[in-house]
Amino acid sequence: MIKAKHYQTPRVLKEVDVLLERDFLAGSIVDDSLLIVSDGQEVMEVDAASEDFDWNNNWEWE
Amino acid sequence: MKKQMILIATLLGALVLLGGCNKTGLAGKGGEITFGSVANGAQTRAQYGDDFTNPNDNKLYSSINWETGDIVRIISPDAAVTGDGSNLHWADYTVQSVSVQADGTSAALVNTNPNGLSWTDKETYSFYSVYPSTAPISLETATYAQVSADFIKAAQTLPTGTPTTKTVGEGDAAITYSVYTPDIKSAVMTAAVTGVKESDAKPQVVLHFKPAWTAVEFNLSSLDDEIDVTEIQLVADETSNDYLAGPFTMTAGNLASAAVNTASASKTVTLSAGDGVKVTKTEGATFTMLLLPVANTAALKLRLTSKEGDGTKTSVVSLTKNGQPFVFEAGKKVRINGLKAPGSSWKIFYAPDILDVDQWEELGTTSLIVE
Repeated sequence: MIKAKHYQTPRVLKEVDVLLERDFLAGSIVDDSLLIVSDGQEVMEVDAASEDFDWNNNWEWE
Repeated sequence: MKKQMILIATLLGALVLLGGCNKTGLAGKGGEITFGSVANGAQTRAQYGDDFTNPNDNKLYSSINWETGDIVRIISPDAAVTGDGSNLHWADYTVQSVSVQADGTSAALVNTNPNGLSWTDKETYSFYSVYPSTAPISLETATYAQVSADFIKAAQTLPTGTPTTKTVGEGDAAITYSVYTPDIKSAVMTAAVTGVKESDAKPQVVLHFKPAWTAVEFNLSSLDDEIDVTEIQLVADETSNDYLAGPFTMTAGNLASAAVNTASASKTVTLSAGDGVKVTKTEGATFTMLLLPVANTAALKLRLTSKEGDGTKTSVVSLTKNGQPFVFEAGKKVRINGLKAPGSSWKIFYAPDILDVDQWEELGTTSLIVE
């Protein structure tokens, strides 16, 4: 007959502080559903010296 | 140690279950606890960046980059803040995780307050947004999403700080410009997206921001003299209904809706260069002026003031293209290249055949005093 040995480890209870984030419970539209893109500003190029504009040759003194 | 691990694991498992039980809106990322933080200090930091070609339309754009900590306000007639019982139809969001993409600068958001907008029971949703978050945007039914802006001033000044430089051209034609990048931290951008469904693939809400101003970038040097520029001015035709600065309203995301408050608007914008910025044939300056996002109908005039002795002198040119008014298209950046300030010197040419202009030779320059 084999005798079984029983062991009992001591019960260890430790107090754990838990912080619950309100956002987690509120169900907000969170960051993985929202994306913003700054499209930038379209550039129109003007050559002041070209024949189409010729601004450099049309200055008038005041 | 093993007992401690079991206890903590059990506690975390309970929290996951709590997250999955939330039915009033989107659960946060599978129930994980998120500890958001809000950057203190300046909430508006966006600035001009490098040029890029958008692969979607092959057009050239000047980037306007978000910075972490920027704050946008999002409003929606359909979504609402439900977590705190307020039922507000707006919330502020802080920019996180900025990323430069091929078609613009993107960023993720985290709600600034503990509770952001939530999905409700609508079939589709509309979202409108404004940056900076402090720009007034209407929640009234009749004027929903109307933005009131008054950041384009008739009197503008060069930004403080040391300018950067850029060189255009090569060899004898090279000009190095001192670049005065404007401060656009107070400039308004808006966005709108409609017809969004909660069931769409994430991210469901993608807001594309566009600037609510027209920019004019002057790349100025001189023909040969050293010119000490003190002021650049754009002037609208007095007989036209064109206005260049002042308060205006627009619906977020719809630049065509821009309406100027003409009673308080100005037909002139003056950009002051302070004590003066010197330009020569090889050294120029790049100035940027902000205008209202409304296209002009009549030709604007460009007036340049520079130092002369103890006083100043002024020259003006009408901005036309092929004899017609040049239109500064709303919301775009008009980059004027190769602009030369007029000098004081008169050039003397020798013409062997007065009718053959191509054979004229420049003999030199001199100054004339005209009384």
